Amino acid sequence: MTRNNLVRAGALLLACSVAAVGCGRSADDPSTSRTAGDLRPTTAAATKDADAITWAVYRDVQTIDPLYVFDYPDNTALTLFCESLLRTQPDGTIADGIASLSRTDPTTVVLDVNADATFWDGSPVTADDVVYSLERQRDPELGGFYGQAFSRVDTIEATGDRQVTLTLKQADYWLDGELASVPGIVVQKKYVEAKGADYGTPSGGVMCSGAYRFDSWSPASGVVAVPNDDYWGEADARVAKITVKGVVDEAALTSALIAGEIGGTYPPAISTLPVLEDNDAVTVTQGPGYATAALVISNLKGTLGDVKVRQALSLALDRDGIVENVYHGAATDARWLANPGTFASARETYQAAYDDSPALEQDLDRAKALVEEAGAKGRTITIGMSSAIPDIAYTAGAFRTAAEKIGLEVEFESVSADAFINFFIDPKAREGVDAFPTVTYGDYADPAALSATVVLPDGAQNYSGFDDPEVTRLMEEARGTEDAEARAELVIEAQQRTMELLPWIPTAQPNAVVVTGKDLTGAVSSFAYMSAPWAEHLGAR
Amino acid sequence: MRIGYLLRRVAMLAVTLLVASFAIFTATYLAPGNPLAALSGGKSLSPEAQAALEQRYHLDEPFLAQYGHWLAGALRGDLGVSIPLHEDVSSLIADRALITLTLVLYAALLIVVIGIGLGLLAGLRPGWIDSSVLVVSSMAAAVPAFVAAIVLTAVFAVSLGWFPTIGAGEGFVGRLEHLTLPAVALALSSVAVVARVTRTAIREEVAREHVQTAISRGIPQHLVVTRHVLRNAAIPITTVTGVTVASLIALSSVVETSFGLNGLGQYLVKSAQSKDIAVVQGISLVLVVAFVLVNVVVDALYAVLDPRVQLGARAA
Repeated sequence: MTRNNLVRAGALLLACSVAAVGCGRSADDPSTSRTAGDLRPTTAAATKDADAITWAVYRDVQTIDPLYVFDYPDNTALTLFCESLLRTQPDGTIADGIASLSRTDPTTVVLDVNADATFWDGSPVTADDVVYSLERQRDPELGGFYGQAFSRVDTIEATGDRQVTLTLKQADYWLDGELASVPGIVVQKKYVEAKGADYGTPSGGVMCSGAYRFDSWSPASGVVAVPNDDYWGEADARVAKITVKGVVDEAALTSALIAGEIGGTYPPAISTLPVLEDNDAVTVTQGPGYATAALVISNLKGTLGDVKVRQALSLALDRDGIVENVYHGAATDARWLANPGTFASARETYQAAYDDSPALEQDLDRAKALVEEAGAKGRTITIGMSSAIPDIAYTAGAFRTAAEKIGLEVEFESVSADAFINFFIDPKAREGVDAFPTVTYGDYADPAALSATVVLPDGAQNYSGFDDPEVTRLMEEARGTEDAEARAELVIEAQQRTMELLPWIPTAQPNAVVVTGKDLTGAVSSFAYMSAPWAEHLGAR
Repeated sequence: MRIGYLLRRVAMLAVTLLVASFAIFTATYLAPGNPLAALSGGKSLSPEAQAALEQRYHLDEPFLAQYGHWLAGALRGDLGVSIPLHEDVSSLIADRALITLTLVLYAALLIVVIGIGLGLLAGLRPGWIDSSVLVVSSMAAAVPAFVAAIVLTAVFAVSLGWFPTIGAGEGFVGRLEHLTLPAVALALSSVAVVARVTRTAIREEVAREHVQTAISRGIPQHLVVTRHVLRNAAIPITTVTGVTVASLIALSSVVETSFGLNGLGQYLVKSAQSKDIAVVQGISLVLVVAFVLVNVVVDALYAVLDPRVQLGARAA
């Protein structure tokens, strides 16, 4: 259907004029732009109970098994009612969750389960449940997506009824973030074993411990959660029923939000944002994001193998156009590979270094000079893209424009919307492709989280074989450094060096966006919703 | 003779299903992409995870073995498991089939009543009525379903608040309320086509010698229309209505997407894109059966409408 975007946009405009739906502001009005300064991690807590609502996600939920939850819709459903060992706060910092974490020495991590913690069925959360949950995550037989998070973990053992000890091969201070996100979600052993292969599916459901509990799931109508009246912790589940439902079509989503049939949504990027921001029936809140939009350099043997060419391409890019046209202002400008929304621990140190880093401003003269120096004039870059995905197509087009301005040629390898995924998972699809645009994020709020997957030689998103011993050393050292400030200094250095070498070329740092009906408030408005319960304070104004 | 016809149709249906299932399986198998991509939201999987998942869904076996697995299951009434949902296909389809069936029937009703009604009106009343039906139907025929969906939603759901914008509703009344705009969007261009074909067929019949003779002999108009005009015009009208109703099944996915309806059409498109073979197979078979049934109904109607037509033969 995406082929018809132009017609669709026309029809939307027509609809605006016919129906006087507030579509007043043009998307490129600079007043829509926001800087990191006014991003809010939370919305005002609710004061009243709310009736049942539907919460939209961009496609139907496919799984709520924490092993395979790996994308916005499934995260949104799972974090509504499941809890991790540690808790990612809306500002990205880590607090106690089901357990508290301590270290007896750098390679011994002790998790003490809260004595009050209970599952929805009333039974206590035990050390066995924790061991079982973590072992499931790293069991290669099960093919979970987060095995890498436990790469420095040797053994996981119950050392008491409510105590679990992780013995590490090497010190690992990235583990805390992982345990405060999906890899750290605790499920009930008894329930998983009873359900077998049905666990985490519509017929099997899940058993967790959150303030909302899983009620039902039918693929055609969505995942339903209701308040857990016996919740063990501090929370305020005020919404009578929350149904997480896929709404594929942006126009339908926009209409339903305005008509009040959809209570809220976390849109990854939505072309109707200006319409929603102008409409009194909904409230749009922007908060810190963890996601980064970038051009993935997938081949270092071609034109982009020369770092000067990568730098030139980055210098020639019109990033303002991307922030305006793709994100409608809901993004901050990129200076690092990491989104400043990920600054949580050692926030001031990171922010100061970020502000000191050069802004990525367009400088065509320098870019042309770099191309000359590299002797790359007239050479071709092949960019994988899909003209059926507007954001990807726009970004690819912006890179083509940039390249042509500085004497390089760009060829598109254009595929269908659904085949675009193959650039990420199929080496055959990447053959002959030098680069492709993406928007991606790390598991938790730390500038190292995403970077580690990109710059380390064994990183899951290192497609080009990028290997810089210095960056690797800084990152590995940071991973093993206990002091948050000292760790930040290492990561800052790694980020700065990464920006000189450009294994990826960042284009924009999208903010987290939450849209709710005007009567609702209290949702988490930072990207933390992907890792931790987001509706514990949601309700009516 | 009737029994023989029925047996022939059933045998043809079985063969059609078998051929279609193999063709669709092959096409889905050969299509670019990786069924596991839908699971991971396009993020890269570790080789171990990839291998474990491939084994779990028989993806590491050769093509014919995979089809054999599916066929053996299907013959036992087990249509397999959706890869991303890890749920039985039959229950996934049952959930959605009702939505699509209601939507298509609702739209079909609109097409028959409004399309044929307007066509009759235009065909029998030359002059301004005829012209306005022509103009309006020319415009309506050119409106794609998803544009109709956006405009209908903006006007009748968002601005006026008469209808809901999204979802399929609960209970009979709720369902009807929720499916009205989608059915109108789905039926719109087909109504126009049916109206125009009906109008043409009626005018052709009216111009015929025996009809003109009947009129000149003073036979009352309603008798002329029902006995002479309608009976003969019924064949092309039935044909075009049958064809458009059958095409609704394919078109429904567009409208379902626009109105956030979780129907079969939308699900088929999504599953085909994510290479969820079992689901594609299951839905395709349901649609093939529906298609064949519509054809059988049209055939039966021919025989009823025109005694000269033998059941099972197609009228020219």
